[in-house]
Amino acid sequence: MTARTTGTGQPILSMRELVIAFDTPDGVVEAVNGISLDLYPGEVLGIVGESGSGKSQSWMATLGLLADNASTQGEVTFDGHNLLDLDSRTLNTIRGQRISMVFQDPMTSLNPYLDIGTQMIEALGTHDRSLNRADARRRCVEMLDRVAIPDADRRMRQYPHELSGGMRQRVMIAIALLNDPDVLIADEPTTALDVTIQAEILDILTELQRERGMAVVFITHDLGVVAELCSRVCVMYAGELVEVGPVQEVFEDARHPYTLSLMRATPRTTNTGSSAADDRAPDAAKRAALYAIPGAPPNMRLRPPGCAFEPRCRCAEPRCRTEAPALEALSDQPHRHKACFRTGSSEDLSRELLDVG
Amino acid sequence: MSAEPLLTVDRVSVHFRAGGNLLTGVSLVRAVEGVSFTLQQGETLSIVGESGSGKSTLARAILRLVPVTKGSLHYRGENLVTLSQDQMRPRRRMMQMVFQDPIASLSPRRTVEQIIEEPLRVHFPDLDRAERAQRVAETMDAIGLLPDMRNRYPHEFSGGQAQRIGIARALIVEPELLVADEPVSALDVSIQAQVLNLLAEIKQARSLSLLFISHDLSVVQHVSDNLMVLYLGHVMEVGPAGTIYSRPQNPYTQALLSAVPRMDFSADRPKRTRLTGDLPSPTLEHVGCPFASRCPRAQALCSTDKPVLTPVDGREVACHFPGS
Repeated sequence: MTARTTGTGQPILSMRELVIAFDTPDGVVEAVNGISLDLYPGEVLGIVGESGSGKSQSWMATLGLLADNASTQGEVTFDGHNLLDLDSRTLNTIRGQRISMVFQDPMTSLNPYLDIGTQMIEALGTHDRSLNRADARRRCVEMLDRVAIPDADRRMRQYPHELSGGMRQRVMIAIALLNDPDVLIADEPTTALDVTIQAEILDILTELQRERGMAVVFITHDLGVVAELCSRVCVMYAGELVEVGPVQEVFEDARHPYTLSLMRATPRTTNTGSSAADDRAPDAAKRAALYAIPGAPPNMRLRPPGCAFEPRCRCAEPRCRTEAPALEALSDQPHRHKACFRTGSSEDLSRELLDVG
Repeated sequence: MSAEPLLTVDRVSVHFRAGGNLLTGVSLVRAVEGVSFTLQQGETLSIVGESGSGKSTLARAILRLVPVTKGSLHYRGENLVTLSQDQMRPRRRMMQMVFQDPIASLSPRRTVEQIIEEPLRVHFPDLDRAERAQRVAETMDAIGLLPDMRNRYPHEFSGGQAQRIGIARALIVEPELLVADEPVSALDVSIQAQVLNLLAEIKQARSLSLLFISHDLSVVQHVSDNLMVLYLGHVMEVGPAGTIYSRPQNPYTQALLSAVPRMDFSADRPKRTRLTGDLPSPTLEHVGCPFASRCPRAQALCSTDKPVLTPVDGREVACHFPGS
């Protein structure tokens, strides 16, 4: 049931049968439907999925950041605690200190009325009371240097609105890493940024992760970012894990029809070659259509009884409609997992996806 | 391609007066600076750039939704810039727009039928109710909207369906030119593919010309015949998309392409050109190349002389030191 990896030793954080439900005026919406997952020290774990797949909520739950109408079941174990049951005082000794989070929009996380320095020192102070102010300031400036913010001393006195989006996100990363956490959860941290700025931030994150050996959970909808950054990937659909494994193996040999569909639906920048022959390809009219996954994700109040992807899946069998497949190890590659009854190779499934229609 | 272009944009600039306070006074934002290009019938030209590149402003200026400061826009030989808004109205039927946020761009109080029908009332006032209903039904069918969606409201639809409604509204008056400003940026990948395929189909079926504005280079590569790269309102490189993607010549284009995260695990994947620094303020008037402050290849000349678009290897490049 649990997805394991090439990761080494004991997991640093474990989710077991995590269920998250939201009580809404239209009824109870189950956003996450019993996922189990281990995070290992020093790994970069990518969580991909589309809107509503539960990819963010499952990690918000870890830090007790779910909305008030949410209820949870299951366990998230970290350092001997079940984070879901923790009182807020104990949770505060973990949150921001041992597990940090960076969000998509830095403007909503930073206080617009306080300068950067005050906010950074406050983040340090909350978690480390032994520091005096001069030391605290020095540590903050060092951290800003580490995330490649030029002229860090001056930046400490600036306000969030005086910084560009890329600079603000660097400040957020600096704050998240001030207390040298064991786990960094990054929720679409580069989605709002321009691609050249995104590239800089991803480089900085990679460097810092290697230097500090922390585990990073990178939540994104962008398969390219996962390929560049992560060692292992979890693909989520409708609140469930559908495929888990080392990134390169999953992307080069996907075994779940949803993973394959997602990859085929993603437009790609093909390699920049150098021969004149490359020029011939792009007549937009003749270009192969993208694989458009039919239909839309399920209404989470009316989850289908079988596999949640079945209504959109071209590889589905009759039993997929009535029985929900569990996340299980692949018979030929036990370190990889998928939740699908079909056992075909990546090529076989691809052929079925693309042949029809 | 030798026929008269549908659209000829000649040295168009768009400047805005912006903000300013007691200390700085009013400043001039130079959103678009001297942009020229032509668009043929049936062609898809993609305009790419990052925030502040002026790509959306340029698109709006072409439809005269924002005033053009300098330059001319010829549509089938007629200069649109000199037309009054009244004279412009009948021409607007030929040039329709699709917006980024599909739900926000649709009126929440109107049914799908009323939304799609609205442009008909403006541009074809002589049609009676039955004729309008007939056209709405035909257009909805062509765009893949089911007939029973007619009486529903935009909020009942997903982003992908709402974008179809936006496309149907644009197409119902049978335009020649469709300007699509980030039409799939707000959509999930699986839905994005549906909308991109739809755009490709209708473009083909109706021999539409398409101006496709996007920041997403992977999407752009999928849809474009020709490509124009903007930086701070300036054209950096323009030409056949395949040529530019396979051998970009402007260092900015190279940086932009190399920054796209790829699902590519091969050893020979292109190395990333790392840029430093932030985008300069759009209020600066550039004597030299606008990219000089961040360019890995910049030399003294670049900050004193503005490069002009020059033909290089099958496309045009604005760079003193082009090369791959």
